[in-house]
Amino acid sequence: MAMMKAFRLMLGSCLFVCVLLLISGCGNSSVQIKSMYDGDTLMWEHIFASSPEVNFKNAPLGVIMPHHMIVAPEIAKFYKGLSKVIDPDVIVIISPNHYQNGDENIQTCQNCLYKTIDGELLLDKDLIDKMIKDGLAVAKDETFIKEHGISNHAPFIKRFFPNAKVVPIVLKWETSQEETVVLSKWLQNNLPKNSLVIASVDFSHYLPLEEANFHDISSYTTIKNFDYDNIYDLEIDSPPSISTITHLMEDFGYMYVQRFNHTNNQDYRSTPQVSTTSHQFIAFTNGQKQIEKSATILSFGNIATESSGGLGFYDNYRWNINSKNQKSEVSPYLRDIRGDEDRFLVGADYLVFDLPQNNCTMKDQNNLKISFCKFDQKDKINEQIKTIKKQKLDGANYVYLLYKFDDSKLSNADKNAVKKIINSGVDIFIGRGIKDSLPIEKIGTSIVAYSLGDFITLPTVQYSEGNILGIALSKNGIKTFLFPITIEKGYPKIFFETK
Amino acid sequence: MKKNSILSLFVLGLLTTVLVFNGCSIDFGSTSDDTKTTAEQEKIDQLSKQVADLQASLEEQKKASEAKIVIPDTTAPVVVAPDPQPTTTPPSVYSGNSFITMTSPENQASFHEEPINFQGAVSANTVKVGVKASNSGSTQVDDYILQNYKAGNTTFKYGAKVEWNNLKEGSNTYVFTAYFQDGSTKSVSLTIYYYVGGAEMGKPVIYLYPEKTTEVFVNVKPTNGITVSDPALNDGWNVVATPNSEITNLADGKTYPYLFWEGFADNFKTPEEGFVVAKEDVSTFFDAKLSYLGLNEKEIADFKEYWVPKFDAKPYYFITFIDHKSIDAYAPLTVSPAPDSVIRVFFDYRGLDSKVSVTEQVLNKGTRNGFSLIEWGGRLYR
Repeated sequence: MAMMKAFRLMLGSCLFVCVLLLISGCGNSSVQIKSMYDGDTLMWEHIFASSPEVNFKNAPLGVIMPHHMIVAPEIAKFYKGLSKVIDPDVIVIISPNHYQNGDENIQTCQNCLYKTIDGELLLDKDLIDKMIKDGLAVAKDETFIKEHGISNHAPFIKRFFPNAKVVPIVLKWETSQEETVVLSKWLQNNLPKNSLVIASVDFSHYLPLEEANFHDISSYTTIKNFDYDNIYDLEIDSPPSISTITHLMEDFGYMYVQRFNHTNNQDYRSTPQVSTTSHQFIAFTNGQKQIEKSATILSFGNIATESSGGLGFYDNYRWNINSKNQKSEVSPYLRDIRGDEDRFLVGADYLVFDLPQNNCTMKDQNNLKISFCKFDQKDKINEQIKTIKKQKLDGANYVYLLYKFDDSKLSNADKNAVKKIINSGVDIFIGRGIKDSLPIEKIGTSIVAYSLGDFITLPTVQYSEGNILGIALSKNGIKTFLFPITIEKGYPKIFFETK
Repeated sequence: MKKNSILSLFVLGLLTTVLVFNGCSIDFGSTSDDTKTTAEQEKIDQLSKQVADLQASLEEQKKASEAKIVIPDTTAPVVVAPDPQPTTTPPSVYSGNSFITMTSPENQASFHEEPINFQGAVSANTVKVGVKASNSGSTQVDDYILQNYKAGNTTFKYGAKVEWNNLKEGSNTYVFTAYFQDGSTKSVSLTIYYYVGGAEMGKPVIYLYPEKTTEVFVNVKPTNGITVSDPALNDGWNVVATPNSEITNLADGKTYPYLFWEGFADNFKTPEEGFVVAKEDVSTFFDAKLSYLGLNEKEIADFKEYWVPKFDAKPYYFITFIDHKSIDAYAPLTVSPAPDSVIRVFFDYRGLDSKVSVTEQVLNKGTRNGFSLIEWGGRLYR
């Protein structure tokens, strides 16, 4: 009898355990994801102790933060500051799908178990399930195992928002703007009031500091201006993540954008690095957008006509992810200068290899009107001056002139002619045809590059040199960035002195 | 008289002690009689004066010594300027305090670059200096007696680098111990934080080419653990592989082109022989070598897609391949049924500012026959 009772008790206990296991969802196998510096309490406490915290005057609804752990202390300061002004119930973290895992553009994780020194991160399973059910995202747990864009943030979230439930989302490179709009609309309709949206995005990659800084100008102003047309042409690691968060912030009316920090891993190196990563720490708070007038232009030197490969004018150059061969989509002569993922070419708003002769084209970028013109010294200067003046009358904030000299040497007469043209309203003057690179000059507020030297030579030319000129236009005037290049047998390459 | 006698004995005792401490000896004769003559009293006075002089001298020496020596606190190293001219001959008898202290870096310092150079100072009676390094507060990564430190040196140096297996990402604690002439030891410890950029990782992948579709068990156990695997490795992969390496993972029913893993190996040694390759020739170099080692066109393309872009920062590269036996030691592989041929290609490299001369590595030609397992990977520098 006693044995029977014990057996019944045992059976009852078993059933109870089984029921509990079922309720707990033991049928789904959790995917354990370790953080960086896994279990290294000393390291994480050192990171978390970083100070001073970022001082937020208003509570952000969305933030952009890097996942590059070289700046882990800066990330800690940002989170620490956030935790002083918000305590979200739900955190949506959107990251690039770095390894392009899985077929679906938008993926989430149902069973990710992010381990941190403070315990496991809580997932908002209800919201994740709804997102999957509504067809917004596909559950691809295995994608998240390697995805450091999410896992690198897990320890920070757990430390500074221990009770927040997380919705992880990764977006493949191919995720279209239309898909990000649908995703942002869904988030707008489904997120609880007390939420935080994090876009885990690193900015410039694989370029020296100077180039990265040049590209970051366009990235920041594009975000600040909610310039959706430009987002997919930025030199960043996830345009779709930026597209999603900007659309969502606009939907919520959180359009006041502030950048709190701008770093580069070069900041932590004692010698110049040929390949750097940049980071921007940005917050969206309640308010109207503050338009920042801005445009960036990359100007090139002499191009041997026979070698040009049809290089012309590019309004936002875009990398084709499917072109994995070493030949540039644009011209084979850009082989050595394009950089990984065409990063050198992607980050500027305009690339001026060439322009239509005796013509001006007006472009609008971030509320700046720029007229791009090209004249030849052979043609009548008075006609040229007339055309330039007209550009200003037509509303051009800046006139950019590509000017073909007759001679390969610069004379005083040439300089006088240039001065006349400049005075008619040219803001940026780029000379072509002069063999040697000449120092950039300023005439009044105008930038004058009589010659940037060579860019693409004939293949028969063993070696040559030149410069690429980066120009950043803003309400404050013109800022220039000079990138020296060498050209070997026609192929230009960024000059970088290794130590 | 009795009092005087006791005092003189005490003074004599002190003098003897001081003299012996200074490495001298002197015979004072017997003082067994407690009654003192005038001559004896004069001698005592004379000796007392000598003692006073010696005491003063000793005090001066001690003050001078204290000015240089700081007793180290093991939790917070005190910065002391190292002796620029280390003495190489230890004194026969050392009169100062035994100590070890760190000059640099500061305790709790952060680093983003390697190597990390440690410098410290020790008392001249030190015979050797050892260091124990641990990562994440527990995993020991080094236990080493400084080879360039010679007994009597008053400074020491130590370098830590990922490549030397005595530095890892995260927190690293180093305990330096000085061993003194008298057999005693003192230690100083400091913790530094090594930040690394992120998750760019090496990519060892395994292809399986059975002669006919076969169920295969594969497990790999790098000596310091797996960090990432795809599909999830857990206790090994149970897969069905086709002759063209379409691998179906039985755990999730999904198909993979290869099995992917990443991990860390202990005591990794980079061969000195290898190849120096100009940056622009890296791609063709791998074409030739990987083909020779037995990889097919697709495998070479996969390899190059991942690795070649990493060879961009320096004009030249030293490239060396790890021999099969060593790879098996670093990352033992278990496969069932056993393949007829196993090709494991793993390489290490470093960038060079200029061309250097190295002994060319002799590679063994890889051959594939029957059921082949092919693996390629490389050492990653973050």
